[in-house]
Amino acid sequence: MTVVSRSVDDTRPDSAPVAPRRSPLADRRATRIAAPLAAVGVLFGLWELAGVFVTTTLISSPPQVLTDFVDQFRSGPAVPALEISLRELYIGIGIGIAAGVVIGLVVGRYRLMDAVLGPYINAANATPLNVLIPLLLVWVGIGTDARVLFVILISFFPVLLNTAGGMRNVSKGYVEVGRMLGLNEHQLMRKVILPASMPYIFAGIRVGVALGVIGMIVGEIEVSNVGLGYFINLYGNGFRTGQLLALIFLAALIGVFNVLVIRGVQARWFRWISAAR
Amino acid sequence: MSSDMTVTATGSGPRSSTAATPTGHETILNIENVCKTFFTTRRTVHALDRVSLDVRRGEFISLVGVSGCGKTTLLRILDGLDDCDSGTITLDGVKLDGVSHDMSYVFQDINLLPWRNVLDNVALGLEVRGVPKAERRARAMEALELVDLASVAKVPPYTLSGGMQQRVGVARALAIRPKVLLMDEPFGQLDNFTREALQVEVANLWEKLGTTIVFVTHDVDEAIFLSDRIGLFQPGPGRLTEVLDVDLPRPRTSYDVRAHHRAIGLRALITEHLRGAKAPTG
Amino acid sequence: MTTPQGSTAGTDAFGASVAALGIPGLDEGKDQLETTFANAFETKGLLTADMTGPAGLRRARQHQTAIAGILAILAGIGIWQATALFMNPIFISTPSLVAPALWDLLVSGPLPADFLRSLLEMVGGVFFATIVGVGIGLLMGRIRILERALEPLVAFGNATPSIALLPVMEVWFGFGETARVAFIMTIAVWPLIVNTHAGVRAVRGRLADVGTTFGMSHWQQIRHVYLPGTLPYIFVGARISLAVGAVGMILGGQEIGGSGLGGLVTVLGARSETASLVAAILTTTVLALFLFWALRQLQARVFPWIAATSAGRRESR
Repeated sequence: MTVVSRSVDDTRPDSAPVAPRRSPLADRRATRIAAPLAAVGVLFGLWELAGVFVTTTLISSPPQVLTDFVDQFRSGPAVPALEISLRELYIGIGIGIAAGVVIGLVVGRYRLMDAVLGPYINAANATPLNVLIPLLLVWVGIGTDARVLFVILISFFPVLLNTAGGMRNVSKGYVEVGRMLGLNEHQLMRKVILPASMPYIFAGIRVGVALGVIGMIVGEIEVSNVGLGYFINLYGNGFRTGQLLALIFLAALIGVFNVLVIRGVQARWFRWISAAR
Repeated sequence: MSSDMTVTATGSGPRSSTAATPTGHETILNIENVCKTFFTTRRTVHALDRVSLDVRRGEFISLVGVSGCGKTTLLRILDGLDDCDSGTITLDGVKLDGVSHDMSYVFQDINLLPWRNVLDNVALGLEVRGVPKAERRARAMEALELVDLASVAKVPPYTLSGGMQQRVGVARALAIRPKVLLMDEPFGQLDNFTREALQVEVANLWEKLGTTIVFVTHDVDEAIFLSDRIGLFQPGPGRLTEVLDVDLPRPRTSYDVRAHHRAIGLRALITEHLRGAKAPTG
Repeated sequence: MTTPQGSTAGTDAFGASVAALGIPGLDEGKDQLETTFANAFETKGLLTADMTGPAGLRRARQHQTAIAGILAILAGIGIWQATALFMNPIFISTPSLVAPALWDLLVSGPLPADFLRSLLEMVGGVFFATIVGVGIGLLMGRIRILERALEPLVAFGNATPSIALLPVMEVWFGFGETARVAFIMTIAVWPLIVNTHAGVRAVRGRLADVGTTFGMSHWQQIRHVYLPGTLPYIFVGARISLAVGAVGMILGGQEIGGSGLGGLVTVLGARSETASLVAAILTTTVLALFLFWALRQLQARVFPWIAATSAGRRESR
């Protein structure tokens, strides 16, 4: 009598070969590239289609926007406008971030400072800051100072809050390691709490920079006759939609550029921030 | 510092040690009537109730008990990470107040600082003690060699496996050449195989260095494998109720722990003792 | 008591989309959202040490902080008044001038009407933004292909400063209310999409198996697993939406027909009526604080367990 041993694999009909499982549609490499392209395609298609029903003055069209984008640089005001806008932007966020980190460290370190400054910081943080613009104008008049001041203000608060909050949220374990090894208060701050706060500080900087870009544009819409925001407003009011969208696209590119820079800095000097999680 | 280890005379079973140390055992750490209570919004926890213990120089003593019975709390108080409400702790005749420079601690969560590489993590304690740079590196490398990780000195700690990270944690604690090493369930987060390997490593380290080690664990077998004595904790409120000798010859193997008659007897005694414990009450 | 502000969370969706295109990107999206999430629920920023010790001591410390805060505000008002000694009141005015100006604005001036108008536009805009944003976020989270398709678009849209679309709103919707509400909606929708999506992804990772194991239908899963699980993230997104929406509210009021608080401050500023201007600004601050407070109340009612968990995290050792 022969003993036929059955193994687990023997559950399918003997004649059927096992087909390789295909990975789900959403995960395949091809989909990851094709899907967004398809979405963009659909978007552009709808856009063009809408051009049939609505006059293109109102909504422009993809090819038109592209032409306008190039034109803005070649013969349009994009370059000088950028010069002004970017200078104000980076000076503003530079000061705003620096001030935010410094004061954030003070507020994070000393509970008294947090208690005393807390109400003001929270009130200012809740307020939509562009309501202050008329006040800024009373102070320094219309001009580049008002805009830079505004960018400083708008980028300052998220950095401050995240820095202070980050210091509070430092993992208890790290602090105990420091204390165990005999670090005094000052050494603990320098060698443990500060480095451990860096992820939060970076998060704050990311937000501060993003808000700074918005602040730059808002400032220029309201306060000037130069710069990117001004032309965006001009084109918008003049129904020059193609050129308007081109500049908006440019503004978005600035935002993307900033993100890449911050990410680059983090990867170069603070690789551990993402890797350690 | 050579370990003060003697092969005890055969007896019918494990012996109970009293606080009064028999001749030949010098006390390095004297814990006297330590009490500690915690307040949370929900309840008050009596973590430690008049705990007293004499730790002998060079011994390996484990503190064993169910979770939440106060053994970790005691360890933290020893190192100065927490304060006790009353009682005194004396190290080599000096009363302790806050963090001691002669003791170090190995955490269950390991907690290597991710912004420093392995070597700098190990050297941190030396930085604090003002050791000059070159000597720091040398001593840190020395500590890493003790745990066989000199090869990864320059890597970021998060690239290491859990077991390797904890070995770095041990190296970090040893680099400052402590009189007493406190270990808080150091292998609790690791898988069984790594845990057993590290138990052997710790046993070898202890033989080599002769440092006094106070080791907290809820794993009875681990305690039997490693220790000279085992202190039993009961919860609700946390008390040290018994200290037993581990009369197994060294070097020990895991077989000894499971099959040696004295180990079996000891484990039975411990289990009975702990099982008689009430559930932790507020 | 300071807590970190919620992030726009947009810059991370970009990272997600960049990753989707096959370019290695850092996992900052998850980090930032975790940071935002952990901090957005305002666990009062107490140091861990504040949570130990007898209950009486803790309350004393909380009282200390509150008292210090109140004293700081009073001192601030005092210092503000003192500036009149050496500064022209046209710059920052003084409490003694602002208070009567505020009274005038309230009683005989346009403030109540403007306040109400701004509030309504804000609530309307954010409401619609929530419906659209949460809807898209949920769909993106549940339908993988849609997710793949839309992620880069959402990232890009989020990175775009929507403020710049202000004139476009005028062009499309005219010069009135509709344009302003549409403007607020356009600005406020992105944080909701991004955060809702992130929330669904988080639930997908951790809790989804629970639903499947119990044999729940598609809709049951959404109701019992995804919606509750995503709610905390949605509230984070709502908080950010309120913040950016408020900016849009003021800007819209200023630019699209001078109305509401935005219009009011512009007019007052143009006339250099600093006292009234400061009064109007403070009113805006009050409005904003009220909206955030209302959101927190809603949040506390919908899921009180979040705050308890964060606080609980600090208590447990």
